[in-house]
Amino acid sequence: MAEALKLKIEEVPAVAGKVNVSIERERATVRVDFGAAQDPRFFERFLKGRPATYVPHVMSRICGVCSVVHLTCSIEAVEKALGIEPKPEVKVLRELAKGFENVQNNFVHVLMALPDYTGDENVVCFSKSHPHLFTRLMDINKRILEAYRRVCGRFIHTPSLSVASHGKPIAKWELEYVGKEMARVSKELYDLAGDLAEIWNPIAQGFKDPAPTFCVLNPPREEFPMFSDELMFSDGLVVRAEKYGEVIEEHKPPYSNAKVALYRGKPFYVGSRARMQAYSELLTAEARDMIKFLDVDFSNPFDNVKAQYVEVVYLSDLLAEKALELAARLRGGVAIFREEKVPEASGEGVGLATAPRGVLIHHYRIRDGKLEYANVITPTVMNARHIEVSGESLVLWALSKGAEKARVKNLVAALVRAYDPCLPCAVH
Amino acid sequence: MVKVKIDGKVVEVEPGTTVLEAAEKTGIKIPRLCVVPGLYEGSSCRLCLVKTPAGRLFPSCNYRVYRDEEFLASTPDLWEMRRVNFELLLKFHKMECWACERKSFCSLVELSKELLVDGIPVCSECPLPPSECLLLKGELCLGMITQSGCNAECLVSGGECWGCRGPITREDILWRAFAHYKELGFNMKDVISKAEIYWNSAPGFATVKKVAEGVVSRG
Repeated sequence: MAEALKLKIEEVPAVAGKVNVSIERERATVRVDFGAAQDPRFFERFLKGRPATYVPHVMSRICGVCSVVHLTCSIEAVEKALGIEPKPEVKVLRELAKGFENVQNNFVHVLMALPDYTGDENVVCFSKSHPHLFTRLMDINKRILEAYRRVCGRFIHTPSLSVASHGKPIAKWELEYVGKEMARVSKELYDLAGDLAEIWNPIAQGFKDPAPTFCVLNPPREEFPMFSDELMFSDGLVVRAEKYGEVIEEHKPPYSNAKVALYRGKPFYVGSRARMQAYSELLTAEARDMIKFLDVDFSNPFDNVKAQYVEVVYLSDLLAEKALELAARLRGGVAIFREEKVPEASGEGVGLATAPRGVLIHHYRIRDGKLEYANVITPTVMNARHIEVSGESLVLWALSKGAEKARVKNLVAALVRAYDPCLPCAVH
Repeated sequence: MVKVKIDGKVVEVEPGTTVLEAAEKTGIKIPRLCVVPGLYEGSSCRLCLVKTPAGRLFPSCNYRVYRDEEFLASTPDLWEMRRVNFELLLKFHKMECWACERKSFCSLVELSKELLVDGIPVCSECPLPPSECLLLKGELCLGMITQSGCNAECLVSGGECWGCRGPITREDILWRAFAHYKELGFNMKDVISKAEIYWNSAPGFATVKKVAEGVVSRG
């Protein structure tokens, strides 16, 4: 009979926020608890009764790492509820902003998770063992942020984006510069994959995802979607944004401060691994090459990190294309756009956005210009149960291979990191 | 030539040089407002105070050295005295930065940052000229009643001020600012409800609310 096992990982390192993971085995069953240890801030509650135009500004404060997605998704939901239609250029600029955040966040996460696969203890050790590679990666990160600054200004809690307005003017030459720069970044990252593949050793090779259901946004056009009106699940089900509540249910487990979302009672996952599978037909030849070259196994949760890298390469190319396309359409640039008066209307709106870590849902009900009801479902909430389920199966898999306690602990920590959870988002 | 020792640094200067000039040679920074070399040396702002090791105080712009002497220019008590002097000077200034063209060329703003004096609104750092002020376009910007020091990050990036640095504590400026809000047709309740987002537990918020009520009841 298998001996009892009790392990606890306090504050998993290299993760945004605090999360405690406990592993318990009794007889043949294993239980992994993904316990968010952040303090809740009750965003959905304290915004009630506030003017709808304030909501995106405050909602972006849910998370400093992925503030742009909360901001843009919230703007989308408020505009839907109030019946505001912004100019097409502004929509493209928001998509650009969103895309830049996906690129930057995923890129930084690849860097944070890479030590698990190279055998280094942490990022500092990695920077010492591979100084040239690290410097190049950091330089690319700086260039991505610089390009973002050209489009929208400050990266964290961008002030230029708000309801029915875009506050930063952008010239045609700036857009052209951003386009060319992102094309260069994409090319460099494509070339860097060779160096990365050499040091990227598989951990837990052969481990399979026990619950292969995933969720992504349904592309409204033949294009990688940043925003959409529909959710799409891996079993082919397409759900309108307003009806998300019929398929996604939330509940709060006692050991965690965050909620857990389930798809018809079953765990599902979101993120780059899901997107790269779902949008495989939209990918460029380079991205497909990368998938083959990096040998991405979509049935292994650890390969989410590789999928993130592929997405970074693909998205930077897509952003370059979008920026150049917009520049070609414009004569001088995009001027400051501001709707004269935001109507004090009533309505309901659900914003869906592609967050770096998966699918983000912002749902608001507005009455006479004031927020009446708010519900935010973040990617980490959707992934939480899936992390537990794959953690349980990973522990069994590792023990069957004769792994020691320390090895099991490291593997589970690496698994949590591979999903790229963001705890401030989960506990909002 | 005479030897002058300021904060332990020795410099040789011509007899008749002021302590301020000697300090500049050694690279020690002494704040000043009124001195314009060759035009005005009346020592009226009293921000350039220095002292002898014995503790005698005098304005450095007006004291000329004719023998070897030692001075202190950067002790904490001197900075505190300079700060108080500057605060007293500012009492006579209207601080209507929202209507002022000077903006980043203003030496008062520069000095207030150096001396950590509060009461300067974000408008002093705003990149928009008064004619382009967001308030004139109907945007509720809290710059007038918010403590400066952020280089108006949000306004530079095309947003409005949300007051994240907290309210300014000088009541007279608050009165003028709220009068200006009222003049432009803003509802005081809206202003307070926006300010609440960041200031609900800020120490100066009670004063802000009191002033807003006062402006309404004045009619």
